[in-house]
Amino acid sequence: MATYSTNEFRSGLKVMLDGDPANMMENEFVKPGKGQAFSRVKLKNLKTGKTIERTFKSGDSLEAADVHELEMQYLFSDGEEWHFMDPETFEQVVATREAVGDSSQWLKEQDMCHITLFNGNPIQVLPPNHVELKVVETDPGLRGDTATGGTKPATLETGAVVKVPLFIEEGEVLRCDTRTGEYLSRVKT
Amino acid sequence: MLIRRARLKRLLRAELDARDWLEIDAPALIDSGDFEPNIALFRVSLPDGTPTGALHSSPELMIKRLLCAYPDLPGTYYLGPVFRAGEAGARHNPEFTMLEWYETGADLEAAIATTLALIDSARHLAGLPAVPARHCDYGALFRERLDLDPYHADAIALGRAAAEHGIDVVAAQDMRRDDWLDLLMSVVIEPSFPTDALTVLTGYPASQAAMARLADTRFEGRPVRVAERFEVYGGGLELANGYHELTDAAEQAQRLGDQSREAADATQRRFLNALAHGLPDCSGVALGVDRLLMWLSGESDIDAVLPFSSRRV
Repeated sequence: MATYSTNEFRSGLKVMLDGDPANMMENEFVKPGKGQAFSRVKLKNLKTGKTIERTFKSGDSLEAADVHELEMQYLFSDGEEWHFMDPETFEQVVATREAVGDSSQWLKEQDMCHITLFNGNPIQVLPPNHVELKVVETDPGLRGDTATGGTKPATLETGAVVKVPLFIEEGEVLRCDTRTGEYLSRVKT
Repeated sequence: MLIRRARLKRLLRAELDARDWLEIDAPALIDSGDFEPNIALFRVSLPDGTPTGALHSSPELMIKRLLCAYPDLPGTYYLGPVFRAGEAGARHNPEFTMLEWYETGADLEAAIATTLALIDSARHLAGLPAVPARHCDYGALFRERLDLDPYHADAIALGRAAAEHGIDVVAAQDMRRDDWLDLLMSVVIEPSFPTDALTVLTGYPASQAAMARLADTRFEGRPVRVAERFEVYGGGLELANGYHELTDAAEQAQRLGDQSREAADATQRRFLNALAHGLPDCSGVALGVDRLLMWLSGESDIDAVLPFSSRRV
């Protein structure tokens, strides 16, 4: 695998750090005029999501990580594994619970997801930013309460629970933001 | 910004010309570099790939050679581009504008006074009020901020202090004492300087200035050798560096050690020969014009003060 020297460091670089793939988020070049140069780097461990700060002496290097990001279609899950397909090559990959994490509650069959592959295996699965999902369970709204702006929980077909206005009923399709977990609007069906 | 930049350069020239100093056209294309261990040069080659020289990282050796030949010059300066390979970031551009001057007969105090007077004029030009200059001692700052004696602490103690400040260095075993000092200075001490003041720093360890005179002094009762070197910071931004220049050719050769023995390159050899002929007592100061413009304009990225930074060339 290739290596990156400090003078190639830039944000977006995928590197190996302590045995895990990491994404370089920031690289600050520090050098007193007459002194030694350093790269102060902020990295995100792509497996754990943890942010790490490291300082490298100029000339040091990091091994490149075989990391690819691509859009793949979610096919199905058996509860243990999640299956995705590249719609262009029809190549399929299988993600573990660890890789899918909290994203599982937003995954609807056929939706395009953002997959991070490390050595060919998914390590992170992100649902689309906006999804349209059916309400499968919510308390009946109480008439007259809409003016107060109150909310109630609603369970969606994929398992996510979002706060919705009181007028929302079971069977309706909602547009939600998966990054914030918030209800955005009703979708006319 | 283009106007501010042009006016600042005009002002700096006018201030030094008014002292009857001479602007020197130091060659940018040189045979080899200076003796700075931490500055990498851009190497230049002929169209067929034969190496032919380098781009200068400072006009120091050339100007000093002229001073050896013309010791009666009261002052000389160079205002123009210098090049440092691999130095790119929010505060660094590989090509930058340097004002470097040599003032004959000036000791360190005089050199600091000249530097502060120039910065004062630049602030005035920019419509800014004069600001106070805090004078700080290298040793005292390390004691105050890190509870360390920077002249005696070993690499292990310095590394421990860095770790305590959350600085996680990769391949820490390769870090020499001076590397740790540079890192702690850049990451812990400089950011603590007050934003709207100038900080004049003196008392650098002898190891941190290869071409400055050395002086014997005491730190917390213990004798230490310090370099006759100063730095001026605008806020936490390094603006200028100055030396009371070493004129003793034998001492210079000895301090450069291996570097001078291996100085097979013409530029370095000619410099050492000139020094043996006699350099007049002088101080030399290098001021980063882009940095000064950054500080005067409140810009945090050097890109904002350059017509075309290397990212946009």
